Amino acid sequence: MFLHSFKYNLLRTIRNKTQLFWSFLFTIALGTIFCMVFSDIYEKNDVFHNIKVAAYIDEPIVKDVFKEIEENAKNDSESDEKLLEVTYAESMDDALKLLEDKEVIGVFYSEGYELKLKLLTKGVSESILSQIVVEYHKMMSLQTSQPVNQDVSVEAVEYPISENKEISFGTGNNDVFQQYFYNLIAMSCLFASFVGLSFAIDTQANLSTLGARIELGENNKFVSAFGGLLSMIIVLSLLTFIATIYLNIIGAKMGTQYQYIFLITFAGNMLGVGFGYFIGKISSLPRKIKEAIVTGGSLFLCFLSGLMIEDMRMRVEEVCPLINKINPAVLVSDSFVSLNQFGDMDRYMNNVITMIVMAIVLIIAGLLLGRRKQYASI
Amino acid sequence: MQVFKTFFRITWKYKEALLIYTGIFLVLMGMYASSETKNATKFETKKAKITIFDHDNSEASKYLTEYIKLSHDIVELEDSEQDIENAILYQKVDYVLYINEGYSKSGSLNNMKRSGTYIGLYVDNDISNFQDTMKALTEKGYSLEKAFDETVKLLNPEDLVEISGETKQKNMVYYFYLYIPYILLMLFFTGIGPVIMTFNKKEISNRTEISCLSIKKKTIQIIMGTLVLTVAMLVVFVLLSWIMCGELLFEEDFIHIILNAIAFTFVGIGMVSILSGFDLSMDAVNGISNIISLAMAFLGGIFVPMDLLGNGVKFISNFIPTHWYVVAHQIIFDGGSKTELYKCYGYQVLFGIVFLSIAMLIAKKNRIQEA
Repeated sequence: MFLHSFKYNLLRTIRNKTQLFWSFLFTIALGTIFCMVFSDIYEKNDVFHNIKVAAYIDEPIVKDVFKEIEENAKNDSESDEKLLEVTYAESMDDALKLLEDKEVIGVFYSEGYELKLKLLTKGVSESILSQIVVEYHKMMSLQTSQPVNQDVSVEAVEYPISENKEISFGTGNNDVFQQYFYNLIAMSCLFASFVGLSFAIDTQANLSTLGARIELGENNKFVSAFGGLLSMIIVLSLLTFIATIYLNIIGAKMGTQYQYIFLITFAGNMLGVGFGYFIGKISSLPRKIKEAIVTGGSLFLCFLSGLMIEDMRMRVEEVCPLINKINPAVLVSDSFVSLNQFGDMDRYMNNVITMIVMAIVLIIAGLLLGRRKQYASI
Repeated sequence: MQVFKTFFRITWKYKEALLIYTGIFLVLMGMYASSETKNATKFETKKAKITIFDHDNSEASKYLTEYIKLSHDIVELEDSEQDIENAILYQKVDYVLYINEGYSKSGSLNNMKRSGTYIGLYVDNDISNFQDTMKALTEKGYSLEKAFDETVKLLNPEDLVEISGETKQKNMVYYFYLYIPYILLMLFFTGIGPVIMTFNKKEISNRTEISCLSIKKKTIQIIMGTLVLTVAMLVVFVLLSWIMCGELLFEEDFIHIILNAIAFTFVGIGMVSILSGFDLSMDAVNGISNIISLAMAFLGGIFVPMDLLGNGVKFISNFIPTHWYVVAHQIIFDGGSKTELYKCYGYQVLFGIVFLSIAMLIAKKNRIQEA
């Protein structure tokens, strides 16, 4: 009975074009769009590259000090990479033209013995440039200021200074946009709830004719349901796994520890199928309402996890951290984060085990809800 | 007018889907409700989000904390590794500073940040500038209190930096009309697509053709239905934007905002006409419309600003109608040449005409095949 149910539900899942579209093709299509849009954003906008500036400094003393600051300004205390890429303009008009054409983001110029900066807008790079002007201003002020007479009532204290050492964490991949891809896989897993729902409805005599036929049979319903659910989970896990490999190929950095990735897709799809199966069995609501609950619920859980807005997960964390602990979409995406960005296997296993336990609870609850039902009229 | 009336009867069947899409759009807009219009010409440094764990609690560490509070935003976090890692990765904080025990003597600091980023470097520099200046001043005999006051003055760049461009903060009207193409496409695909597909169904089309109603009259009534529904959708969204944005709506170039939306409807109608030329199930229409709308929204610059996209994507987006909508939208809100603006309208209308021509070709091919 188990094998019979396994085989026919395997064929049913493979032949279900709508399910294949949403679990596989839609994931691949959206993943391709995400890859085109998000793959460069972090590297281009957050990761440090030389800041392009122009300079027109006609006062020789200012120019010398500026050059000294420019030579010493590095992007890191341990690196030789220079902070600025300076174009020395022939005239102020040339420098401003470069600024207007957005070839540079700032223009350094002198006003008497003062170094000044002209910018187009405000931002992090612009603030770093303002630190150069401040550095110059500070150097000049400190050079010219005289020591003060120490107040005898105050003990002379020298302010301490030492290196500000960075504590590294994770694997060094801090790309926040990466989580769009993880949440996409979470969405694919949660869309497995559609087949779970169909399976639950098709085994309920009051909701489908197929269900009426199955209920009449003398076969063991638990074994039959187990076979059916397992076949669906295996097919959909493989599809999600293939979609993940595809994303990796097109450059989405999903990780190369494929055995662990498969475990995420298996646990995620198990939870997806379990969710759909439970909703399908929960009451005698019409099919359309149940479908709306499953579709809306899946998308809403992905929304809370950050599929549409990247910092949504942290906003939820502030309001109700418990939601993030049990949201299936968060569990899937956090498993990927643990694996690829934090390299934290304990956290990874914790997520996977939580998913499997939740899936088992939902499936058992669904099975129990479908037991011993009697119908006066169908 | 039978076809015209039937058009709306069929649309009514899809009212739930239309309401759901509109509802999602309004919720999304609600998130921008707190945005205000502000023109800023005065330079202010970027405020990073910083968490400080002061394990020294000395006078020196308190001055450092005080300085950071003045220049940045402080975010409170629990001292747990997982919380801190999550907060940094998901950009809740940009920088976590540990002031180690004994800081007042050793100056020992540690930090966690997104390594190699602009924001990390900026905060590193700021802290180092503060320490250097404090040290130099205290060496000159300043007390910590006086050195702190002098350092704050010295490290303030406001009078030394000038902004030549006008930084305009986006308001809710900006976002409402930026997202309009996405929602219009979804509504067209869900509201108009199924209607035209129903009329194009072989059985229904054959049945109508043998009636006394000429094909010309049937087509005119379908076009009328499409136009009325499109205008109705536009009016509803203008009213909604007026309710949500109030007076702000009329601060901008209102006529051009509407003209841009009208130009885009040509694109939407053209695309729906192409899709309805194929014999597709509603499930297929749902799938295809989702992929097309999302692709156009992402690649055209609606969901992700054009400035952030890579050069390859920017090139591709020239061939996507939403790109021209977004360019026109930016000219309307940020200012720019009116000629460029009219060009953008023109490109959208041209896209619409090309799509409608393709749709007519498909329809003709279908008729020939049937014959």
